[in-house]
Amino acid sequence: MATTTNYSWTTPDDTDLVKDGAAAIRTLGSAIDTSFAADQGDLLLGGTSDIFEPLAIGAAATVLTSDGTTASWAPPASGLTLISRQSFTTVADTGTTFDGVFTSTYKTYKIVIENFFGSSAAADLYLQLRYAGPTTQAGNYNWNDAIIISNGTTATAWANPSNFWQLSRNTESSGDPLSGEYTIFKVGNASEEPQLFGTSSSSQSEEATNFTGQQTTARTYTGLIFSASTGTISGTIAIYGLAV
Amino acid sequence: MRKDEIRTELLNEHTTLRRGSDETGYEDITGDEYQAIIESWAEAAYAKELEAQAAEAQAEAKAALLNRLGISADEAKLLLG
Repeated sequence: MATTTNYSWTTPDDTDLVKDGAAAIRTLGSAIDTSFAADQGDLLLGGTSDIFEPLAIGAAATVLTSDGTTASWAPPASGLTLISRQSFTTVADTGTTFDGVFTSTYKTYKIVIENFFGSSAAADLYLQLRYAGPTTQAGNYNWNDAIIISNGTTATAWANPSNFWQLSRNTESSGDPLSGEYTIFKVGNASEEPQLFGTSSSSQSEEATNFTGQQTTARTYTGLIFSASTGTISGTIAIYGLAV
Repeated sequence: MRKDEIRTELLNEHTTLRRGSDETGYEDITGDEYQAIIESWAEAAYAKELEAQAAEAQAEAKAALLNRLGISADEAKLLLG
């Protein structure tokens, strides 16, 4: 039986009967179907034997890269990569929304609070870490902050230990939401004690809060959860991986 | 406000509770967990109110003392410096 050069698909011999042509075409078509079968997200990549081979879809947030010979999926070489951007409205907490955002793909992560407000504007904004289970880490948060108030005065606050990181003493209102940016280290890779620092701006209270915090229970933390000391919260928060 | 008044106000304001996000979906919080969250909110709000009252009382005492001494806050700082 004759076959094609690269894929070895069966084709009719020169001496085969014309009446068998339809079956021969079906056989050839089925062979092509099988050769190019792929799962969702797969790419067809030229292989070493001059034929296409499927390249399975890469892990979340990886990019297609080249080593000069072939292509593969890999974490971005540098810069920020959006991992998750979520909006929530009048929730007691964000629940499982940000579970699984910390992995071994990155060593450092950025938390960007695009806007945030509470049903009680004077409530405190809380952040806690989550780990496999997933379970919320309920204690051993150390933190301190320095607040610059619009009239030029300053205030400080700290807790050691606490049941949460208190990112701001005001969750603000829908008309003047809070914004902020934080960097978190030592999560997602191994059992470590995470560190967090960053700044938030409260437009209603006209305060800037510089925050630094540590979690003294070493774990492989995989996510986080937002809530307020009192009342529900609403907002949009994005998590980015920082490739270096 | 007393703590029980704050609790009642929170129960009236939040007759239902939920968690989650637009993208991952929302889950209702009910039963004991609902009651526990309302209780923790009432405790936190009450503690914050006590803090505010204490700060206000301290500011009033400071103003009264300065008034008795007949000096301004800046002049008091000079004395201490």
